[in-house]
Amino acid sequence: MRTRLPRRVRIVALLVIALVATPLISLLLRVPWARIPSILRQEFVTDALVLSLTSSVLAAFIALFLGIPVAILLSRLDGLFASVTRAVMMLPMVLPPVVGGAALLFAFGRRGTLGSALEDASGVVLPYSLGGVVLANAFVAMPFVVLTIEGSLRGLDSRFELAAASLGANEFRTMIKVVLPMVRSSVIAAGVLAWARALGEFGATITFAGNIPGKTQTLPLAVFVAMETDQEAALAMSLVLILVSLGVLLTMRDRWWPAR
Amino acid sequence: MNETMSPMRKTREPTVHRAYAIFLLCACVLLGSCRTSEGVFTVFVASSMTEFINIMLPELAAEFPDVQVQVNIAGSGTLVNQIAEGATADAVLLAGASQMDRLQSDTAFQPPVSIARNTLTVVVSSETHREVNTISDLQNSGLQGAICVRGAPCGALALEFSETTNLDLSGTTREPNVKSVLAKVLRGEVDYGFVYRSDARLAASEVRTIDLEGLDLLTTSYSVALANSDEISLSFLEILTGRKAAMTLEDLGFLKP
Amino acid sequence: MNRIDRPLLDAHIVAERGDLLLQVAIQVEQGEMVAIMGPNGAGKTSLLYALFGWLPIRSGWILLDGQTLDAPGEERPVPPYRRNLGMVFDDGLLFPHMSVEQNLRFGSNTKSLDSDLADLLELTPLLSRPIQELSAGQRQRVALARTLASNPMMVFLDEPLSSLDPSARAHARDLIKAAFDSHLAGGLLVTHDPADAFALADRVMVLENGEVSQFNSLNVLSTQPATPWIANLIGWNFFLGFARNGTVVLANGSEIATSDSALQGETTVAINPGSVSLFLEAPGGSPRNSWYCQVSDIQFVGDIARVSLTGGIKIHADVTKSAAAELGLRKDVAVWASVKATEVIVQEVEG
Repeated sequence: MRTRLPRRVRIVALLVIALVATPLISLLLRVPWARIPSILRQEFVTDALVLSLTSSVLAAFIALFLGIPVAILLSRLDGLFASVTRAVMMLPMVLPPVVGGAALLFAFGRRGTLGSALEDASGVVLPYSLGGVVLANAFVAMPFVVLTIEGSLRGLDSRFELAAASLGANEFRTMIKVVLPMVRSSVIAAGVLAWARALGEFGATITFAGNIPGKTQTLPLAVFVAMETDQEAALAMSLVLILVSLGVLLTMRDRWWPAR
Repeated sequence: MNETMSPMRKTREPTVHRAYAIFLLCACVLLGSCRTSEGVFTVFVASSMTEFINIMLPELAAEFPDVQVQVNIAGSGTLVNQIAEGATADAVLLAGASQMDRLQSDTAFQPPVSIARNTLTVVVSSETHREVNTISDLQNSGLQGAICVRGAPCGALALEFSETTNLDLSGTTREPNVKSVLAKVLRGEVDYGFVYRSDARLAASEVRTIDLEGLDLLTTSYSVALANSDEISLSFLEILTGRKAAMTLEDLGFLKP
Repeated sequence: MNRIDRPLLDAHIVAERGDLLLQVAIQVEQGEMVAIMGPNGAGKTSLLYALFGWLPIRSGWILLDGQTLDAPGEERPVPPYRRNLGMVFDDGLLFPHMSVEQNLRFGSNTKSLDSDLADLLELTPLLSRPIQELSAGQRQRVALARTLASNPMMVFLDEPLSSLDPSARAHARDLIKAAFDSHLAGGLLVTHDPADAFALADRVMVLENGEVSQFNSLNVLSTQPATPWIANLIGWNFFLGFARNGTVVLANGSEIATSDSALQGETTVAINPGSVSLFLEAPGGSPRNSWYCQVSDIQFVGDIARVSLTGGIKIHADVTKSAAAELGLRKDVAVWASVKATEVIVQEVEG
């Protein structure tokens, strides 16, 4: 049992919930329900949906894969170096995504620091490709992974590592078999957050990967373009985005916030 | 906490009161800033008209020194959307007849006045390794192109051209407005872009322009529409249709209406 | 080198942890269990960490069975996971995402589980259980078995019994003893409870403020405590006897009455010397535990006088210096020693 919720808190909380829900409900009110089947059958819509799902899932996995070592490193460090590194890793979360996209261009674009060398060496061009979309999405999603996992790693009793060492497990085995499984719920939470961020990503994607229908035009980009030509199509696609996101957040709710 | 709070408890909550006060202050500032203010003249301008409007606005400011002029520059489709969703504009300068038609049907703007036309041209990045001169060169699969989104007149024109000539533009990136297409070409991120003749002229020293047969036959028109007929609105219309405006437009590479 | 002469563990350690400066020399013989005792913050756990390589040592050396584990300035330290040392933590520290069996197999090289070990520690019925369903005692047994399954040469036990309730402790002690005898070459046992040291350890090392204040057999510690802290805590009187209907008969025929009238069989008895009262004449009323004794020795430690008695019973009593002066205590003076039955702490010895 808990103390009763103060009435003020309850009223404010309900008002805020209503405030957040209103725009979403208003959007639903405008959705052209009768036209939805024909809209969603259009090629550029199905392309965008498939592309969005593929790229966001790939980006979430890449962000996890790359973010976990960084989280482990940061959880072991203190002092100025750690603070600066952490701030840098958090930047893509704070920066306008367009700035992130521009920064990616300067690095991996065809004239970029690494991009031109990459193109000369292997012929691979990241911008205007699925790889570019995934890279842009992973870039903005990574801070969520680092933040979430570092937090729970810091909360973990370091003696578990000693226990593993006392049983003869080397550092890597300890990490894979003991430490990461023990923060499993936050690894899952980090993956969901990263995926959600990647699915809704717009600015970095359009800046870095462009807006090529069927190739790099993700659902948010398609919505943006359709807002000027066919608003009803934009609404239908927004509905799809809302339903997919809501569905995943609801399925993952228990893993995300472990039940008390 | 409950209703029978002791006086002791109440005096111990200055932080809560302070938080309320800060919240109310923020709300007031926010609400105040949302109100449409007097003495401001708001113009919505298509992005391809950026340079033109920057040259012409001082004329208006000279006539009405007390009036603050606000300019909102975006793609024409975006501008019409904004107005349809309730943004207030005193005057609108749009590219493309279709966007102006949407504006006229959705809102209570006065009939438009045409001030110029524009046509597309292809600009090629100076960093492109390949030789690009003709339509068939553009089909080269190794090239990356950029055009405007279909909703913007520059995009509609490019797609119209692609239909009439069977030029495949499906692999091009669709940028929200013409400035963004030009910027991508200038930075060498794409090999070529379909931009307005006026924009190509602005960047003539940094990009190469190629003339594709038939592309100059497709034009888009620029027109101004006013929300009301007060003194400043009429003056604005007068300035944009005047002789200096015509000369400026010609200098910038626009065609006569 | 002659194997018999070589100590199992030979360490000389200087290390820092926070404000604490740890300076310890320790030798553990083959087959020996050493208890480490001391006040909170004295550096007991830090000593284990330092031996493990978890806490870097500043100077000194650590030799395990003749192999150098660490000697700053000479060799690179052997990483903790290759030291062949086992550790059992006070709270077990079982891996919560694994079953009992997975925990047990984590450290063993073989795929199959040592079923004798599981049997010995009474874990066979628990193997498939998740850790969350175990009681504190079961967890501690799993922790011990997990450590033994990884075949360490020597094991460190960090207060392995502190999370158990008193009734479970005696049983756990016996299990540790049995496992130690069958599986290990030696061990260190950090504990707060003199009974643990009495039951399991050959010698006791007392750490105070990072330094060794005494390192000797329990018998020496209780008769000649080097510091007041040792006098207070280690100075307990321990007896082994046979209980019949709540009264414990010792080997010399002395009887100790307890408050548990149902007590039967082989029993250990612990009496705090502070609970022993001394009188010049036979105490009035009828306290059942009164013995006529002679003073064999008096040691002064701080404000306390530790009085060793022989005669009716061999027991130590702690009295204040002033009380000792009032009673005129000196060697060979005859006194009555008395203990309330409720102050007698008993533990049945298992099987």
